[in-house]
Amino acid sequence: MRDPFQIWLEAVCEQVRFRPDRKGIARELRIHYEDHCQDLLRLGWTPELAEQRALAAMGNAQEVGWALDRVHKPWLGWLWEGSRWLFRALAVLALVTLFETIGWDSLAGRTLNELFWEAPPASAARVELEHGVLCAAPGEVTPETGGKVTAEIQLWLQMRDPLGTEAYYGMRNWFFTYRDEYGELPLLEADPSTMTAAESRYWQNRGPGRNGWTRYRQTVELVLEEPPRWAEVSYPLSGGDWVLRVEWEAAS
Amino acid sequence: MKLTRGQKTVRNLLLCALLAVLVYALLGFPPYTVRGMLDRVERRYLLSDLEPVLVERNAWRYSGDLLAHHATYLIARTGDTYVSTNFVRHGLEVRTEYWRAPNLGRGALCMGLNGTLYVAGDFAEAASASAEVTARRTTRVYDPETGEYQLTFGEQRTFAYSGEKASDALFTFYYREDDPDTWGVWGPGTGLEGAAYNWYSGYTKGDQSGGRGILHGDLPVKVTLYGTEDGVLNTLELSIDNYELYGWR
Amino acid sequence: MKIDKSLMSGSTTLLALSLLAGEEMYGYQMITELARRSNNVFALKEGTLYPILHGLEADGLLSVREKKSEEGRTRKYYRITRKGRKTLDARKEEWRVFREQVDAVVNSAAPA
Repeated sequence: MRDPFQIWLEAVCEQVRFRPDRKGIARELRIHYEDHCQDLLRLGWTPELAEQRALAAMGNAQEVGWALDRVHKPWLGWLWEGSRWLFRALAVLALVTLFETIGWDSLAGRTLNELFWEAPPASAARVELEHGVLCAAPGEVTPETGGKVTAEIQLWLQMRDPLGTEAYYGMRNWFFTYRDEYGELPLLEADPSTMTAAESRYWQNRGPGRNGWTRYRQTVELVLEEPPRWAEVSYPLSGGDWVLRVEWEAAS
Repeated sequence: MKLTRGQKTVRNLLLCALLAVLVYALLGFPPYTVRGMLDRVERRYLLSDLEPVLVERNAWRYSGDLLAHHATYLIARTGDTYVSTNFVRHGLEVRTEYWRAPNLGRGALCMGLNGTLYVAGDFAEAASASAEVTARRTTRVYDPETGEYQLTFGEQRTFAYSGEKASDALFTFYYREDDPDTWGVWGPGTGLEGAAYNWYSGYTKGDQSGGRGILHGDLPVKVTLYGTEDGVLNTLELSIDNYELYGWR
Repeated sequence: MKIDKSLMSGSTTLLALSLLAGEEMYGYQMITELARRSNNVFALKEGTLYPILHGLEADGLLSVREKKSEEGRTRKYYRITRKGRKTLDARKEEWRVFREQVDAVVNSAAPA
């Protein structure tokens, strides 16, 4: 024989459409009923009569349940539950993304690079493009073994909108054209150790690049036969006709 | 201060929006649409107003992975400049130029993908086109005496195909001869695809295993455009990396 | 004497908020307190108190917290919020006005 209060409780909860709240309601009502029973027992009632009295005092199960259902609106309940789960899922995703995909290093590094930025010198050649401002300035010239010389060109790109790592990859590519007084410089293969025959003049993208969120820096190294006097960076493949000219001071 | 359920829901949803933006930024603002990808290419290569000429998709799943990789291959044009690139999406992450190198060309561009050679250019007046691709056996070995790599060349063959006009900016040339399912361990055997795969070999210094690496080679592609009156309209001298000519991605 | 239920329903919010104006209470405690203060005149069906309490909490007039008693049973204690106090004051004022009007009509109709 089932506990009559349990039957009453189930009838109440049945009216509450938003199921997750039923457990809390049942607990609260049950403790109320038990407190009432306790009081009656203390007053000298017999257990059976106390239970009957306390149950009767609770009221009509359908009415109570229906009134509770009006308050525990299901649509709000589900929206709230949904928002909690969505939040948890996104929080986990954010943590995973932070450490797995991008990592603290990259996030912190790029922010630092953006904040501690070395601006291009005022004398740098510059051109304004749709997506940002590109600057070029001459860098160090170092003699290498075998009679070759490496000359650096520094490039800066200040983009208008912050976006991924666009410019970083773009600047490291091979689509800019570099020329010096002897003509256009051909692109060096990615791994010079597997070159079949040494070219007499070649350039390559190498050296440190520094990426912020809107500011990018790249160093381009030209490997030449002799120290350069000037070099020009252009991008004819894009259809643009701009040219950035860098000049090295004559060595003493 | 305790909030009502309704207030908590609003608060949760605002936090969710914030987290979503954070995740999007942490992922590097991945592009999921073609327009998003083109915007990205514009910023990457400092171009403007790119219009798509070709959009091809492919998907594959490695046996250990939960999710598939979805690749999008693009050829786009701005003015007279053509660019080819690709994006691969794995879950929420998008990687660019994942497997094959991008290409930029003035006037025309060609790209190979999964048995088809795509040539993009200004083809409004061309009624038909043919393409000739020349492959040459190229072997790179390490000569221990000189301490350098040497290239040796062997037979040469030109493969000719007639094209289908896909649009005013695109011709396609189908060159695949055998079904990839029949390839087996040794890869494609016949035709241009077989040559691209088998004829370009590189052996690395110090590698005793005799393993053959596939060398990158630039194969000349000559495209002849014909007008409506059966006359030759134009010829284009392009080149293509052999890596684009074999395989399914 | 038993009061007509229809007179009671409109003022249950007022009663509940008044009970909680001083201290936080749990449901059964409120029932016993209400009976005590009103000399057992108000004896509403106890189950119907909870929809009222939950509704007031959903509207932000009450806040809830769970407390464990010495015997280890957890009860939900309701406490009035600032918004609840403002509503209580407004309702008290309404009730005072209502009562005065009723009194005015009822008393003026007394036979001479």
